[in-house]
Parts: sequence; structure tokens; C-alpha cells
Amino acid sequence: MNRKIIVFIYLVCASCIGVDFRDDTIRDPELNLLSSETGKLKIIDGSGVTLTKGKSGSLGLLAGAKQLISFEYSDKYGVKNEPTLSWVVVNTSVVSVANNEITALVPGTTLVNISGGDAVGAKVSITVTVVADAAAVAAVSISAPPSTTLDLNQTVQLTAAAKNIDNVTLSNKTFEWLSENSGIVTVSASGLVTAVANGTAEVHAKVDGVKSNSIKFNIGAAAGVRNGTFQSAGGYSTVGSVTVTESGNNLVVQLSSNFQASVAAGTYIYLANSTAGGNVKSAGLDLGLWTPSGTKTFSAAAVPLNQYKYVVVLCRPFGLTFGFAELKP
Amino acid sequence: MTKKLIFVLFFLSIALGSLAGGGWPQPKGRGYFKLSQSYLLSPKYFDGNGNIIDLTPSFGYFATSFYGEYGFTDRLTGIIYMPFFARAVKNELRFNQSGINDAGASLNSFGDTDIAIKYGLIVNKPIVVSATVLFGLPLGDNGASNANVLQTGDGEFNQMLRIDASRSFYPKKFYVSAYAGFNNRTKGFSDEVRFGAEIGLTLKKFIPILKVSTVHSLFNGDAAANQNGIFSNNTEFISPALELNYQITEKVGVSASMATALAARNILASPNFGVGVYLKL
Repeated sequence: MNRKIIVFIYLVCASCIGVDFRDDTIRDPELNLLSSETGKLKIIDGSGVTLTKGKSGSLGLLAGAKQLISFEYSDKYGVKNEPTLSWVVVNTSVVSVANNEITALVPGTTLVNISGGDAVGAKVSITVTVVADAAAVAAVSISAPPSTTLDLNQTVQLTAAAKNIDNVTLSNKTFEWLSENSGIVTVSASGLVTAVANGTAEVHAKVDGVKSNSIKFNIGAAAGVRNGTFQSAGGYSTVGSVTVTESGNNLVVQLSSNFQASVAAGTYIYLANSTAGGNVKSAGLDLGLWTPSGTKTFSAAAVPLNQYKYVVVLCRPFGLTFGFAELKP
Repeated sequence: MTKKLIFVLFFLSIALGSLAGGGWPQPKGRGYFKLSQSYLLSPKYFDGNGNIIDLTPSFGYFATSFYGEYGFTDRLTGIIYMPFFARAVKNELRFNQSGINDAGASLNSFGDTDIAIKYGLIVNKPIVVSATVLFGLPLGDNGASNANVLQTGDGEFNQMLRIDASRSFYPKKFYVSAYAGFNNRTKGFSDEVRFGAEIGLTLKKFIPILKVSTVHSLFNGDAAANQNGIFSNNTEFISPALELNYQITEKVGVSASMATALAARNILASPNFGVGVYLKL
């Protein structure tokens, strides 16, 4: 009997796996607008399409209408919860706000800024256009071909649409095209964009005073691109370089052809703001598994170019950094 | 990584060899046999530069092993170290605030096994010297297909030549031993030079032994380019250890040991504990 007990205890001890507890890595809290479920016009994002999640958007409302706004908030530990929001309406004669609900008062346009939680940087904004009837322009959107990275003197044609409060496209409207930095790109009265100098600039349009979304253009090889050279860490080996390119709202992370790193099962490429393995593992953005014979191209959706400082090669099971590249313009 | 653990275990087995013999081979028909359990779980790690870093999560290695020495002749002794149950573990990781879980994992298998022949070069002198040829059999799992980097072996067949010298100060009840060895490793793993020394006392039935063991990599292998070789190659350490033995009867005793590393590369940075029961023939 005693022998059975000893064998049982041994088997239990031999089969158990312990649990480690660790605080989440502190990071910047994040506030995002979510798609509105009701209302005449849904919030549209910077690309002119219905917003699913983002930092800013546009909303059209009929005078007297109300619109509940939804948010997603992640605190400094990355935990999603309900924040205490602070609302600032730039033109309080156009809309009022109570309990996360916007009430349209009189026709006009105003910017509404919302910040949440305990973070200065957790901010979003909505441009609200209030109209009196279905004949008025409630929203303007512009769109461009997929690539907004242009060579010098290259041209690209933009298209635009104006919609009323019922989401019906209004015809015979005159669009006013505007470059926000005409030293980088110019835009003609017909919406033809021309790259005139290296750099970054945005273009938008207006109809009857209603502003559209803005489209960002990167001119020249250096615009919208960050580069880094890998250095080894922890006595392990990582060589090569990386190029991170903005492509619309996405990032493309391209490892150089000569990239090599120490090999262990479970070696991953991360975007992160720290090179410490544990922090990378908990707060970094996992781009995917890397193997010597595998892909050297990774992508990240809806990530701004400057959100992360490093590309990290991480042995994820250990939380051990093999190497990293600091990203620079 | 777990190769380091295997090294530590091997180190312990070598220590036992010193207890039973050191430079002394077993007399013909005599032997020393031990059943042991080792335990190592660490949240920290000596990285490739020798710095101690946090692991997320902890990793561990446990082995139930048999160690035996048997004298075929008065000069020739056969030795085996066989971890017949080896277990590598990655703890589950839970983040306090977010509740995010990183699942734990384990790998159970037979472990890498050492077989050796020790030959007494100088016997019946105040200082005795023996030579040992050891073969490391890759019977463990090198984790080549294991995404959690769990290993119970390194997957390579190594051969080690080792010289032991010992002196007993009888009738004073203590002895000293020292050894030097060269470990030739295959499959791109770096070769190693090993040194060690120990001093043992006999206090009636109580036998404490203090040991120091070192492993130095020659950094002449590129196993890091192989699957999972990164954590089992270029392992180095300077390790003091204390082993306490208690002789229950003339033939049977129990032991407890603790080995740690003062400086190291590519090993877990926590003490390795062991307990065992031994039989002397």
C-alpha cells in the first residue's frame, strides 16, 4: 500500500506543470472609435470607408438626431475595460454630448475630441456634420489607387463622392481639392495629384464646406519608410537589416536577403518598443514565425509607421531576445 | 539549454564516481549503484554572454536516473549513467492584469545516457590516477520538432577522455580528488575542456563532499545553426556543489546534493537539487 502511495505521489509530481505569475508590461493606453450601429451615416474612417476601429472618423447627422458612439479602450496593462471619457466639443452650438451620445442641434460642422482613461495619448476625434435635410451634403469621401507612394513627378487621379444624410450620392457637386503641403504634392481642380518634391503630404476635398477624409502620399524612396540594422543580443547571433514600409494603413516588414539569426524552434519576429524579451513577449506585436528557409516578409494591419521602435528577433518560448534593429527614418 | 542540465546531472554522476572511486577504480567484483532524482526549475538564465536574464516563463528539468560502477578487474571499472525518466518542463505563464495565459508544456522521455570505462593507471600508491573513456549516447529527445524548445538530450554522440587523480590522507579521514577531461562533441557542437576538484570528509556515518566543476567550451562548433542547437551548444559554467551522504548501513546510504553556478553561459541560473539512495557492493 505504501509503495502505491509513493508511486502515485511520484507520478503526480512528475506530471504537473507549474504556473508563473507576472505583471503585464506597462504600455500606452489606447482608445479607439468603433463602428456605429445606428444612425443615418456610419462613422467613416480616414480612407472614406465605414470605420471598424480607428483614431478618427466623420459622422453625418440630421438636426435633432442622436447618435450613440462606441469605443474600445485598453488600459496601461492592455486590458480592455470601460474608461471614463472626457468630451470636448469645439463648436457647442452644432452638437451637444451626454452619456457618450451626440445630439445634433443645428446645421454646421464641428470637431469632437474624446480622451479616455488615465493616459494623455488615448485620444480620438470625430468630425460631425449636421444637416437640415436630405438635400444637403452630410459626408464627403475621396479615394485613391492602392499605392500612395509616388515617385517624383508621378501623377495619380483621385475620385470623390458627396452623400446626403440618407447615404445617397449627390450629383452635380463641385469639389474643392486641397493639398495640405503643396511643396510636396499639388492637386488640380479635377483631383489629379502630382508629386513635386520628396516628403509626405496629405490631400483632401471639400463640398459645401464639408471636409472629406485625407489621403497621405509618400513621395520618394525615403518617405513612409523606416530602416534598421540588426544587432545581436544576449550572446546570440542576428545579422542583416530590415525595412518597414507604410502601405495604406498597414506596415510591410521586409528582412534583408542576408538576414540570419540564431535558430531555435519558436523564433518569432516582433514589433516592439523594448528589447527585453519578457516585455517583447507581452506587449510587442507578433508578426510571425521565422525560419531560415521561410519568408522574409511580414505584415501588420492597421499599425502606424512610428508606433514601434524596434524589430525584435525573439525566442518566444523562453522570452529570449536573439537580436533587434532600431527603426530610424 | 537542457544540455546544460544534462551536464549538471553528468557532473553529479561524476561526483558520485569520485565518491566511489575518483582516481580509484572499483576492486574486482565490487560496485557502487545509486538511484537518484534531480530537480531544477529556474526563472532565470545565463545567456550566451554570461549575463543573468529573466525567463518568461520558468523552465525546468527533472531526471530519475541510475548510476552504477562495477569493477571488472582491479583496474578496469565499467560505469553507466542512465536517466531512464527525463522530463523537461515549461511552466504556464499567467499575466496578472490581463489574465492572458501562455500554456505550459512538458516533454518526457529517456534521457541522454553515458557509458564509460575507467582504467587504473597508478594504483596502490599514495596518489592514484585513472583514465576514463566516456561515450555520451543521444538517447534523449533533442526537441527538433518541439516548438517549445524542450529537450531531454542534445542529439549528438560525444566522447570524453578524462584523467582523475586522488589522494587519501588516511588515517586522517579526508581525501582530495581532481580531474581534467576533453569532451569531443559531434554534429557541429563545440568541444569542451573540463576540470574539477573535490574534498571529502568522513565523519563517522556522515560524509560531506565539497566540489567544484568547470566546463569550458572551445567555441569551435556551429550547432547554433541546427534546430535547437542554440541552447545546448557552447555551454560553460563554474559550479560549486555540496553533497551530503549518510551511511545507513555498511552497504546502504542516502545522499542529498545541491549544485549551482557562479558564472556560466547558456544554462539555467538556479541550483540543481538531487536526492538519492546508494548501494555499495
